[in-house]
Amino acid sequence: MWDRRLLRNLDYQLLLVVLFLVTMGLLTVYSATRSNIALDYGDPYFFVKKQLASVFLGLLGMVFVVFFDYRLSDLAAHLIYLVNLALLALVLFFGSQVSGAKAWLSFGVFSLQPAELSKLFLILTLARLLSEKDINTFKGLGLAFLHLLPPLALILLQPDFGTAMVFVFFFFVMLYMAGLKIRYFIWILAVILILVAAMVVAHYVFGAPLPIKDYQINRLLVFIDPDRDPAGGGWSVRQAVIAVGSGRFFGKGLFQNTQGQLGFLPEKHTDFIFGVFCEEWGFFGAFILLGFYFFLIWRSLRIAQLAKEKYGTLVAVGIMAVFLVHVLENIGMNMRIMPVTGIPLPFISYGGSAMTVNIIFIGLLESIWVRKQKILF
Amino acid sequence: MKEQVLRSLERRFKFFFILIILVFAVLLARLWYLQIVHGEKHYAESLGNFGRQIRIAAPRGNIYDRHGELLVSNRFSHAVSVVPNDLLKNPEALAFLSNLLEIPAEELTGRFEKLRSSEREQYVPVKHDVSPEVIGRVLEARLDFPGVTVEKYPVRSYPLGEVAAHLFGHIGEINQEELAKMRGLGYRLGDLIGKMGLEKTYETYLRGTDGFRILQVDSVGQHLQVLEEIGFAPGQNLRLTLDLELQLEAEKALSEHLVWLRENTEYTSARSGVVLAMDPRSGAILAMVSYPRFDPNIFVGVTDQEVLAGLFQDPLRPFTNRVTREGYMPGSTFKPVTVIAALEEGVTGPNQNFICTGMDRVHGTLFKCWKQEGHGVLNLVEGLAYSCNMVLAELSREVGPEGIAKYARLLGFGSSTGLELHPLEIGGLVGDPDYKRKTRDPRWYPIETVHLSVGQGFIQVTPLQLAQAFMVIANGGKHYRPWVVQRIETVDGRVVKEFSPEVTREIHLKPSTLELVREGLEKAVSMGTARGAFWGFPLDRFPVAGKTGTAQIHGKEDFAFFASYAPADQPELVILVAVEEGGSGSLGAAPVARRLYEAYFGLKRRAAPKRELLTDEAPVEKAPEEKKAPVEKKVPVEKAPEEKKTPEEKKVPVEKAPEEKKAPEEKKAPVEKKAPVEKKAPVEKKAPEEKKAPVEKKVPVEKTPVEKKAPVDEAPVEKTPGEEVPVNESSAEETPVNESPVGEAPVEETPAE
Repeated sequence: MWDRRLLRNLDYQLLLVVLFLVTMGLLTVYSATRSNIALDYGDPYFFVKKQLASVFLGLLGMVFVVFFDYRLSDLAAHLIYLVNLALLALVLFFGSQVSGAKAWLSFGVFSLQPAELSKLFLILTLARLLSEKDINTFKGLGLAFLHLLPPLALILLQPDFGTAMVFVFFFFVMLYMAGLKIRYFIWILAVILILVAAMVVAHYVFGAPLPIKDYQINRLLVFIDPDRDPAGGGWSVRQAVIAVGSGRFFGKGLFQNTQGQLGFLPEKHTDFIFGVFCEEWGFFGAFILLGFYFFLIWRSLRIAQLAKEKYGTLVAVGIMAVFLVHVLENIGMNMRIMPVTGIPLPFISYGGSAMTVNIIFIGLLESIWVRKQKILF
Repeated sequence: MKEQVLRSLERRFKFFFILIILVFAVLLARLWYLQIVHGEKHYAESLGNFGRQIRIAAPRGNIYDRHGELLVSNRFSHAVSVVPNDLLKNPEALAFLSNLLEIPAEELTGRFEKLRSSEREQYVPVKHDVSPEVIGRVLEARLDFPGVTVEKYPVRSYPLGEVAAHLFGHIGEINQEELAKMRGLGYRLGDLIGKMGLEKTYETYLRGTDGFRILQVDSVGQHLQVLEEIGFAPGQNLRLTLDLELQLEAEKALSEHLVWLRENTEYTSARSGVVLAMDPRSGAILAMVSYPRFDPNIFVGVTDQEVLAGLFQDPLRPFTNRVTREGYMPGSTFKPVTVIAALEEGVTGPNQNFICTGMDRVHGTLFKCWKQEGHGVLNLVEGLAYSCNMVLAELSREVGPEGIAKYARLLGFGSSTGLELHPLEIGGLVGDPDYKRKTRDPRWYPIETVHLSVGQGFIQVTPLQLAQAFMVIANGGKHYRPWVVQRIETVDGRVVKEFSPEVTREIHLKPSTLELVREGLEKAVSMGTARGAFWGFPLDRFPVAGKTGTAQIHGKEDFAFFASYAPADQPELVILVAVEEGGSGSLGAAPVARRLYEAYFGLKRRAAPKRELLTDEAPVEKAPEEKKAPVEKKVPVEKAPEEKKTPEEKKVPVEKAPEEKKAPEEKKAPVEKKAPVEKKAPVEKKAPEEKKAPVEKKVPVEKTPVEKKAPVDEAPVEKTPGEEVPVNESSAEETPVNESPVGEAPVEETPAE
């Protein structure tokens, strides 16, 4: 399995971009936490160290998928799917609750976020399913939905609305790239609209509970009108916008983020880290950051295009979709053009599971890239 | 088939490439909008987030008298200030404060909710003037409750208390109306602003500019460091023309005299009055007292609403500056005006003789002189000196009401003098037939002309105008704009604005007119109606010219006036005294003026006028219709002249030592360096009675006149029956008592530092 040509054929541009993003992420996490919440643990590098550990864990996974293969045997695919469901179920029973959602499984020092891993697992198994079945049949489409629904339901039970939306997004992107005819999309859209309408009617006529919680409704309302709750839900959005805007062109400089360090910006090392970054680096830095993300996503799509078989295309497209929706949603909510959800910024936000999974995603992309042409082997 | 699929796949890839470009274009556009288009605004907001402003209040400017004595200044006080948002988030802190400051929590939150949201992020004082104990507890609790602090700030202080309160005025919280007017000048809700007096008139100079301290705070309001500090600029200082020594003497003389009047005479409701001292060579005000007074300190810090309500409801209106805002009928102090009118119009001369028989009929209405038996034959000078109503009545017939009104206006009555002091002075009233026709009645009765000539009826003057008129007589025709601030300067002594005497009008009177009137006024003091009050005063060295006045007010006791200047040959001081319900001018007002002259000329008090001496001309006429508020009078009806006041009214002066009772403000004392008399004081205090003895010994001379009876001794007509007896009785032993109003004052002054 080892082949020196693998190394030679790696997409080093992609690796460099990711290296840059990870480095900026570590720096920004350090900047956001060093003078306050990290000190609660007695070490200004506390979060950086944990993040670094996740990076190395991700690198291991990356090496593994690059040098072995991204393709799965039947057994492996079934195993992965079952492990996925098992972890998502476990977190519902044994997970620790953080800000309203049971999303974390704790193992001593480390904690695992099964929903992040689930993205990886589901993309792999779904790509396999979509590449093997004829999607434009009732059976094939039905199987695809049946494949999505169990993990999606478990995530909604946590509840993690944001991640669920990510799932729905990459599911449809993959369906689309798998060649689902447009008219089926229209049918699906119609069914979803009818279901939503039915739920709303049931709620207002029969008093049936809505499947979303009050705080989620509130987030949406605050997004529409941030002044409706300036000290509560609207606070973080307002502070994030101030943080982003106050960077002006060149930013306030490294470690000069007052919004984050003085505690005005909540979740400054996770959800709102983009605000901290912008405050320190200004439009200048943010422009470069967006440029790197653009390259990352563009290259993911390019790799999907060049993959040697449909499975590889679908995996790469799924990964591209995850990156795209994360970047759009996270940066968008920092700038108040998207509602607030707990979706991290890839490679930048603090969060071990997401970091590890994102690096494995890169490993998968590299794996697909190096195998794009048999001739080289 | 395969080709087709591939081509459709390519199209789908293309769709995503375009989607990605769109997404990034949107993100970039938004980034540009936030960071470049609105970058400065957000930057400011981020600064506002952690930069919490604390206002450093600038002290208001000090006020000094002409010799540099400190009159109004500042002291330091402590206020508990909170950041409303921090407190609203923290019910525990709210409960703690509410409990400590004894303010209900609902009231606090209610106050906070009225603030604008930006103000809720800044420190707002919730309680001023807190005790050291409260300060200590707040400082202890500050670590637990961020957003709560104690601020030290200067507050206005009036160390002299009620002294010159109407002149200094007071400060208070800015109201909505003022805020609307002054917002451009940087005033904010809760600011203190001058409300009356100099505090208001010179607000822009006195106020100063507040400084700011910008503290870095974190989101829970803990202070991290001082980011920036902008120092305050203290307000500018006022240097007045006021002479504190004279002011204190005036305050004391008036208040003591009021007490003396109430306790020793029938004028038991003498509680209000005015003293005004001005320099006729410049119009500068040296002393200004309006009584009753108020203490401007009550408006500083937390005002006791009950005390305030009491003052506002007081029928004596302690907040009214009577010097500028009260219109009085001037009574006989107006007579010089009529005399000037007659002389200037050429209807009389120094040699004309008049005959006074005590009463006369003016077109059927009985008009009486205050001296029932009549003055006999007198000339114009004597008419002024003895304040003979008949002389004036005769002159008025010649001059007519228009003539009197014309000269009244020339001398400054009926229009404001131009003093810059809030609330602005009133213009008063000079009522001629034209005025009466327009406002009430087309008919003008001859008796009304006579009334006008003696300062009764349709005439209302402010004490300031009266003083102004006497200044004009004293200086030969110059109307100076009265002024009280001579200089405005910065803390380091740089002069910002300098005031100088300003002649607003000059009138030209014949030298012979001035000479005659001045002679009459001088004789009024040396041998006429004010003689008793100035008994023993060294008129040879310090000749005083003046005129007593007694105005009859319907339903009240007579109002006493004394308008004067000295030295008569080279006037440098005009003193006006008015005492409401103080009886005759010689009794109720002149003694106060005498005391001021003594203080001014640095005289040892040698003599005190006797009660019997302090008599004056009687009220003008008894006609009952006159007694009603003369202004309202409709038609003068001829009523039986016999209707007199009940004879018993006149009481014997009681033998109380007035000084014991009063103990007027001892605080004021600081100034007394001059008066040699005061040195004795400490002794006197202890044993007031013993004290008097020595005084008398020293001045044995004075007793004599008493026993002899002063020549001026006429009792008011109405009082005739009882009059003589009590006087005689009392005169012998009572000397000390009588002295008291004037003579004993020094006793009280001493205690002061």
